[in-house]
Amino acid sequence: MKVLIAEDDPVFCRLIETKLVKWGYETVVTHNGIEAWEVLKREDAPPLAILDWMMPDMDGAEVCGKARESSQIRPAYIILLTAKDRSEDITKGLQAGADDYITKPFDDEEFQARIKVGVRVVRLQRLLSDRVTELEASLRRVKQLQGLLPICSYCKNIRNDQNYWQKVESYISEHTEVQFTHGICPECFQRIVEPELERLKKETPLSDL
Amino acid sequence: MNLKTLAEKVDLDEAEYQDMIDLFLKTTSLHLIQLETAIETEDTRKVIESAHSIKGSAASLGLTGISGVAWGMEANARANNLTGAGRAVQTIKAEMERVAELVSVSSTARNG
Repeated sequence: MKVLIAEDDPVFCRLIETKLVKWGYETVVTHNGIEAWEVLKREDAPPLAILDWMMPDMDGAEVCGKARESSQIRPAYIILLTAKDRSEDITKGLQAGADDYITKPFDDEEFQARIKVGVRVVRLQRLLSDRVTELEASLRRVKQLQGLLPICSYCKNIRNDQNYWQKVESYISEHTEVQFTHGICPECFQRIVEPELERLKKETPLSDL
Repeated sequence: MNLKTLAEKVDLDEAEYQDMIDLFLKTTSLHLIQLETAIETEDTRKVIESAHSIKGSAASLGLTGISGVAWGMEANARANNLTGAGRAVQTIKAEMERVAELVSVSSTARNG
């Protein structure tokens, strides 16, 4: 997975990059908030970002705020890096939209564990987003019948949107995924078919049957 | 204390750690120049910023001596006290020389 690093301190930046590469992540490195924001706006923006709180031009919390306000960019999982003795930064950062924070200097195991949490959340979000897209596509395919349907009380034809009286079979076939297969119910057989057969028997000479 | 032991403390191999230390020595030298100017001009905010950076990167590389001195300098500057800041800079410089010596010994040992 691709991870964005935004850190102005060259030592920290190299350290984070080295660790992430060692743990199997692909990295995109930036050195200030403006550069980080430009990367986050890209179509192929990394889904996970580690932003230092204190950076020149635009700090980590500002980048967070901009990322959360914008509806045009894909939401990234953001981890803020902050100094251990600046607990007020943590609250501000989380309020600005960060998902998590890591204090500097960080403990390797904790750092890796927090990144793994981020990866899990990103994967879950992707899964949900894919499911929603699938559902939306399915809904577009399913035709639904809703509301009032004017039907003739005698012939059972249906009045369509063009004010045309249409056979019930063709109307339902057009508006649903249903296909009709024709048969005769016992009641109609008795009421219609049998009398018709009787009539035919009577009318037709025996030699023709 | 040698470079290998320090590298192991931060879970890096010796070559990676040496690379970081080189970078640390370069950036900290720049911070120290800024610090000296800031102390001279009694610019407390700049002292805090530079000491804060040195403190963080030194701690991340396990250089607890340098980090501790920078921590003290930052804390004093936050309390508007720059007394002893000049001495702290000298201590950091001496510690950096010691680290540079460790790097040099390690390079000689590895490259023969």
